[in-house]
Parts: sequence; structure tokens; C-alpha cells
Amino acid sequence: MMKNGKRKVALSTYLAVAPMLILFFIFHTIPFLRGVFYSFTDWPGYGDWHFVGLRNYMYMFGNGQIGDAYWFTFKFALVATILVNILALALAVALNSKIKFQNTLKALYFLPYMLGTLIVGFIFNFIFGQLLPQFGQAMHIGFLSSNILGTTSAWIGIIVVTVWQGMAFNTLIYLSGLQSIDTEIYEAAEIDGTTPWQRFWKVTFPLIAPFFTINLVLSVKNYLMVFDQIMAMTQGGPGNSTTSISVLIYTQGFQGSQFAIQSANAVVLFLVIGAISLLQLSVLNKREERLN
Amino acid sequence: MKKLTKVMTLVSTAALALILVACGNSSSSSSSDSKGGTQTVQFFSTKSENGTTYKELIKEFEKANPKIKIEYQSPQNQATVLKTDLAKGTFPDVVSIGGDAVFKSMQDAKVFKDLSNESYAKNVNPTYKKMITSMYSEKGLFIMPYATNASGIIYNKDLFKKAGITELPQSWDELIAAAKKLKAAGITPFGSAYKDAWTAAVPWDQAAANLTPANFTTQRLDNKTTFAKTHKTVMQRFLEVLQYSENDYMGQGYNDVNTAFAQGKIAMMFQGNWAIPEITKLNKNINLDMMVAPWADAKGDSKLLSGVDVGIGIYNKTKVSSAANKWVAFLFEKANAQKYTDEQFAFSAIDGVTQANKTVAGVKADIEAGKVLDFPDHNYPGALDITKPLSQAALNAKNGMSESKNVTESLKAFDTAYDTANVKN
Repeated sequence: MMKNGKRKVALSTYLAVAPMLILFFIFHTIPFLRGVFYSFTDWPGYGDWHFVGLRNYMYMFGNGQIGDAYWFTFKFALVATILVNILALALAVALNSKIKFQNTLKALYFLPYMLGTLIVGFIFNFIFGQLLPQFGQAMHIGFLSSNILGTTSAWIGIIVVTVWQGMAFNTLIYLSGLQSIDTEIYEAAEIDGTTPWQRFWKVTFPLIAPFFTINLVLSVKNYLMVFDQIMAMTQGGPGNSTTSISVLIYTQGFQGSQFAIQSANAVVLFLVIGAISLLQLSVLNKREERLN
Repeated sequence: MKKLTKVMTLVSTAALALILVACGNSSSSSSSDSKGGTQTVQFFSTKSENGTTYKELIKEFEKANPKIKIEYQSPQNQATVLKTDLAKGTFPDVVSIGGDAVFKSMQDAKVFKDLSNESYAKNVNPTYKKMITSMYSEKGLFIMPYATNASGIIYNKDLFKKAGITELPQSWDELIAAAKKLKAAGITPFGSAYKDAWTAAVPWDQAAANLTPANFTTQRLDNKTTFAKTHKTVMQRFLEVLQYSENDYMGQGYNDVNTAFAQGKIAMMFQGNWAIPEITKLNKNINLDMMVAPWADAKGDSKLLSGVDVGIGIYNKTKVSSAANKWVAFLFEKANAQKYTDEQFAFSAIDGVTQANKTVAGVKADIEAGKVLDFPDHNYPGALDITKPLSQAALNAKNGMSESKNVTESLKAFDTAYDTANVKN
């Protein structure tokens, strides 16, 4: 039924969405609003509290530890996003081509994503701590003979695990994007005498623009919030070198009883991620329009 | 449009109703009450090492008290879990907790029942009771000391003999000389497990307690002194240990080093008696003992660190208070306290319960004579995590930073971290 050019949404649609909306509101929105509220108090997580206005936010700007955490998290998110998306796209292109056992391979490459991030972290903890060093010592390879998670390059260990596991999801999205491209376009391009590389850049890549947008926005958001892998492998160490913002909020907020200050930190993180995501979306959506 | 507003009203009313129910629901999940007569008591332990002993005692207690069930809990990151419990407004009925900074923050929230007049209070050593009461200003005894610990050096007697060390080192120079002898015999002198950064606090506390004035912690709280002024030797010696530790001390954790020690690859560890059960369960034939860590220059001047390793507390809002009290009284019975002491290589805070095991024979006399110091980090601000600057100092050493630069930078980092944490929340 069309009414004034707007589609009429049936009552059943609202009722179908309502339960999830209510649950989301109770378990996500309300705690979030309470967190924002507590960021303006001095609540240590239990007991008495008072309003302190913007004091926690001012404290944040003078705190080197928080500044370092933001710097590390941005660097990590940048590297992880770039690596994951390049590798995922390459893998998706490979899996989309005419190869044997295509479906089995797709399932295999998706396996890492199905494992819990903490479990993967713990297993790699063992690999980096025992298996790799023993291998490195036996083969007399210097840099592999000690646990990488105990060096200044510990962040590389975290990147390896994060990329290995996160790749699968991005690959899935790119695959569905690739499969949405009409094969006739490739045939036409081949007839015109283009190289595979040209076909990729001029045909494939522009046509999967919406999928690229989704992947980029989700990657940046996820990696700005990195937590599981770090807690499982280095707990933010050595020193503070792998302390991401989320790890800092958790350890200082709960262990350190700085609940209110870290609530302020969490609010700032939310604003930062929100701003970056909106910026990305506006830039990438314009690009999509341009390409269309 | 009318239908839309009708639906929205319906949805929002339903949502509001659910919110009111959800928000009005405060702390109720403390412990379930009588389900057909059985009461469940939640028993939370902040140490995973004493799990096996507790579980055995629970079995015996449940046999003798069929109407009471004890639910044992000891997850990872116990201190954080307790704090999140507090944030939720709940707390376990009975808690086995150390007399440390974690207890202090729990006490700030005033969750514990005063146990000074309980039946089991009279058998407990007053020295350790005082260690607890001195941690807060309120009147009363809010956890009952159960087991005490000793922090020093755990060493492998066979490896010492193999390297030709006939007398235990009693000064810092003698300790380094012993380390050199071990190294010459192809044995790793010290096991440092700094991937688990908490282990760095053990030697630090020992050194700080033995090498700095006793009033430092109170002075530092009032900003009347700094770590940079007073802890130079402490940091120097903390770093010197690394030169005689295993190669990958930043990449090996608590379990890795305990395993290596149990396998006879490491001669000494700066640890407390709490680590001994971890080693003996891997190798029950290991010939080990504990000694005072000789951080001081003069022979015989160094002291053990000892504190309340385990104290038992009862939640003051528990719904199963008589069952909880029964369980605690059971724990404090002499036979059960002796079982804990024996199996955990601990020392008991209960008079008459002695530790006869040869693995701690070396320090038993000092403990019984009270020749001990308290852990300095019990008096650092709760938000200060000393393991971070210590871990960074060790990493600097691994990366080849010169000792003098490392000492200056690390002490500066210590002071910065301390000041950041010493802020009123």
C-alpha cells in the first residue's frame, strides 16, 4: 500500500523489532547512560560518592598514562586495520576464483573467527612462550629464541594474533561483495585487453565500494576497542607498552578503584570512536557516490 | 500516523515498565536461601594455590553438616572480581582474602562483619590481629588472620651443594658471590618470572622493606619524600638480580619459572612460601628450603617479610549468617588449621598450630621469634600498580639500557605513577 509515496510499515514489523529494542535499551543504553552519569562523580565502584563535575575529564588530560594508552591504541588500530583489510581482500579474491575445494577452503579460513578471542589468546600465549622459543633455540634463530610477548615488540605478537583471527570476518564481507559483481563485466574487460591487475583496480575494487566502507568502519571501531587479545597475552605489559584504552579502563577502573575517572575515559573513547566512524562514513559514502 | 503513535506508546510503556523492574532490582543475588532446608554459603578465595585444601575441608564439613552446602569460588583476577561484585552491590558470604591492599579497599566499602567476639577469636595470635587492625580506623577485627606467609628466597639445596656453596649467604655481597658460583657451575642462579608482572613486586617489597626507613610509606603519602631520593640501592639491587636470572626473564611467567625450578634448572627464586605447593605438585621429591633474602650490606641484618596471607571474613549482609559462621568456626578448629598449614606450607596465625615441614625449616625460627617486616606495598595507594614501572625497568635492562640511566628513569617513573595514583578519586 503506497501512501503519499511513503511505504506503510505494518504493525507486525514494529512488534517484531520491539523485544530486541527493549533488551538493547535495558542492557546497553541504560548502563551506558549510567556510566556517563558516574563520570561526573567520584564513585570508586562501591560505597559513597559525590558530584565533581568535569574534574575527571580535566584529570584525564594531565595523565600521561591515559595519553600513552590513546597513542598506542591509535597506532595499533591503524596497523591492524590496514593489514587485515589488505590480507582479507587478497584472500577473498583468491577464494572467489576458480579453485578446487573452494567451499572447504572457505570454511577452513573462517575457523579462526569461530574460536573465542580469549581462548585464541591463551593458546598463542603458550605458542609464543614455549613452542616458538624452543623451535628458535633448536634452529639457532636469535630473535625467535625468547618470548616475543616479553619484549618491546610485544605489540607485534598481539597484531599477529588479532589479524589472524579478525581476517575471517572481513574476508566474508569482501567475498559477498565480489560475488555480487556480474561476471559479464570481467568478460568485457578481458576482451578489451586488460591485465588482471588493471581489472582489479578499475573494475573490482570500485564495484565493492560499499563492502569496503563497511569493513573499514567496523575494523577501525573493533581495533580501537582491542581488549581480549591483550588481556590474554600480555595484560598490557611489559610495563605499559601494550596497554590499550580498554585495558586501561578495566585495570584502573576495577583493580585500581578509579571507577569514576575511567568512566570519563570510556565516555571520551565513545566520542572518539563515534567521531572517527562518522568521518569515515561521510568520506567513504561520497566515494561510493562518485564511483556510481 | 495515528496507528504509529499508538504503537509507539505501547512500545515505550512496555519498555518503561521493564526498566523500572530492572532498576528496582537491587542486590539480591548474594546467596540463595533454604531450598528444602539446605543453605548455600558462597566461599570465595583470592588465591588459587589453596584450592585443593579448601575443597577437601569443604567435603568434610558438608559430610558433618548435610544441611549446608559450601560453594567454592576462585576465578582468575580474583581481586577484580571482588571489586566488580562490590560495584554490583553483592558480595560472597565468606571470603578468604589476604591482609593486603585488596582487603583495604574492601574494608573501605565496609562489607565485613566484626569478628572480635567470635569463639575462634581467642586462639589467634595477637601480633597478626594487630597487623589487620592497623590497616583501618574503624574499631573491630574485620578479618580473622588464618595463615601467615614468609617472603624470602626459595632455594634448591641440591643445586647449592653441586655448586659448592656450603654456607647460606647472609649479606648482599655473599648472595652475589653465590650467584657467580652457580653460574660458573652452569646453573641459572635466579628465576625471574616477569611476564607475570606481579612477581616483580616480591623482590621489590623485600628490598624496600630492608633498605629504606620504616616511616617511608607514611611520609610518601604526605609527599614529604620521594622514591628517587630513597630507593636508589633498592632499584640497583632489583636490577642486579636480572644479570643472574634466566635469559628470557621478561617472557617467562610464574608457571614457567615454577616448572623450571621443579625440573632442577633454577637454583633460587625470590618468592614466598605460597609458591612452594606449586613446585612440589610438579616434583614432590625436590629438595628445597627457604631462607631470608639478604638484601642488606651487613651479615644477618636482613629480615623476612611476613604478613597475613589468608584472613577469613564474613559479609555483614549475608543471608546465611549462622551457616557461614559454622563454616568459619570449622576452618579454625586446630585439626583443620593444621591440615591447611601442612598442605600449603604456610604458617598459622592460630596459637599451637606449628609448621614442621622441612621446606620452610630455614625461616621457621624467624617467624616464631617475630623477626619479620611487613610488606611496604600494603601501604601504597590502592590505585598504584607498582608492577608497571618495575616491569618497564626490567624491560629497559633487557634492552641494554645502562644501569645508572635505568635506575634514574625507573625511580622517576615510580614517583610519577605514585603521584598519579595518590589523587583523591
